[in-house]
Amino acid sequence: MERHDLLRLVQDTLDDFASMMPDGPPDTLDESTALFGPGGLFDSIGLVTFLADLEEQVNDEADAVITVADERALSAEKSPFRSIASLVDHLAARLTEE
Amino acid sequence: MSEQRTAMVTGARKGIGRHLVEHLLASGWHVTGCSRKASELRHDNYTHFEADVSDEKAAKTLFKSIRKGAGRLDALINNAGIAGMNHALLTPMDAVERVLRTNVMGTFLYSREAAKLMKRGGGGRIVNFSTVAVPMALEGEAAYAASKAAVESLTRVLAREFGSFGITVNAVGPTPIDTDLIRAVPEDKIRGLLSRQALPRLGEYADVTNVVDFFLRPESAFVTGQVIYLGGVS
Ligand SMILES: NC(=O)c1ccc[n+]([C@@H]2O[C@H](COP(=O)([O-])OP(=O)(O)OC[C@H]3O[C@@H](n4cnc5c(N)ncnc54)[C@H](OP(=O)(O)O)[C@@H]3O)[C@@H](O)[C@H]2O)c1
Repeated sequence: MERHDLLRLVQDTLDDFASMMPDGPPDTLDESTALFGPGGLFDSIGLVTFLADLEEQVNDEADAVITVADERALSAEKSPFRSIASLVDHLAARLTEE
Repeated sequence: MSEQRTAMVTGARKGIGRHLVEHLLASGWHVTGCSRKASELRHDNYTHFEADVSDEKAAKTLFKSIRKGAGRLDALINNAGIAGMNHALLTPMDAVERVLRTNVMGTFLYSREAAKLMKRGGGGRIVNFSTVAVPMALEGEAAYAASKAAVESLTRVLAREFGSFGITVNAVGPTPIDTDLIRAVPEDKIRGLLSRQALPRLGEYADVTNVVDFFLRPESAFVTGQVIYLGGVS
């Protein structure tokens, strides 16, 4: 899958999760949008549920079996889940490794 | 999405797992089973995967095929289990590791993947397998009992983590039942063990099925994080 396909998938999945965003969906959604932390879209349970769903979508569309929250992602100094851009980069890297 | 209720049973090739598969099929479920070796069971509503429950990639492939096929999962029975019955002084570490991988990691992995699918459908039931060896603190079964104590702990914590998705997580703790699992245990040891039960007899498949059925009933939606032991052991 190309990076722009992954970005679209992340954005589509975020649309489905609008009801789980404590402050509601933002007016604009771009690559710099924070997923969690100060000003982020989700609280921790929201992020977990979103990532689990996204993993299924990616694996279905790319016909892959990647794990989104793997050991490296969880222990990385800078979390790949902090923004839409870092999440898309993370997904692209895992798919390339497959 | 299929209209038929769908269950996943691990360790489905023989013993209690095989019996549970047949019971669910007879009750109208579609069942997916897995075990390391091929199954001889042939049924229109049964699909068998040759997968070790501790293999993450195999689990992901298996759940993906359920998602793409039936598109739903209503119940997961984490039945696959192995025992390593030996005095601790005579238990090699690779035996301990095998027991923990199958019983603990297998239960964790399949619960995690099942919950992802179940939450899409608005809920589901997970039934884990413990044993009376946990409350009885049975000597000669240190690794096995410890692995099942971990399964009980998983049952309670996952019940909380998955509760908001409408998923219940419970466990059944059978007494000895005449399967290959206990075939190597000397008869006098089994007799001694049975004598410590309130109801001193071997368990039957039907005793297990009854508890599993209870956890799966729609009316049991408010029962979660529980371990039910057979034979009056507590
Ligand atoms: N029988 C008892 O007295 C008793 C008492 C208390 C609790 N239990 C629990 O009940 C459950 C079922 O036991 P059982 O008596 O039916 O045992 P069993 O007759 O030995 O059957 C075990 C089943 O698990 C499968 N299995 C084993 N390791 C596996 C792995 N790594 N991945 C996938 N499948 C695996 C086996 O098939 P393959 O060989 O094809 O993999 C088989 O189908 C276990 O969790 C056990 O701890 C049994």
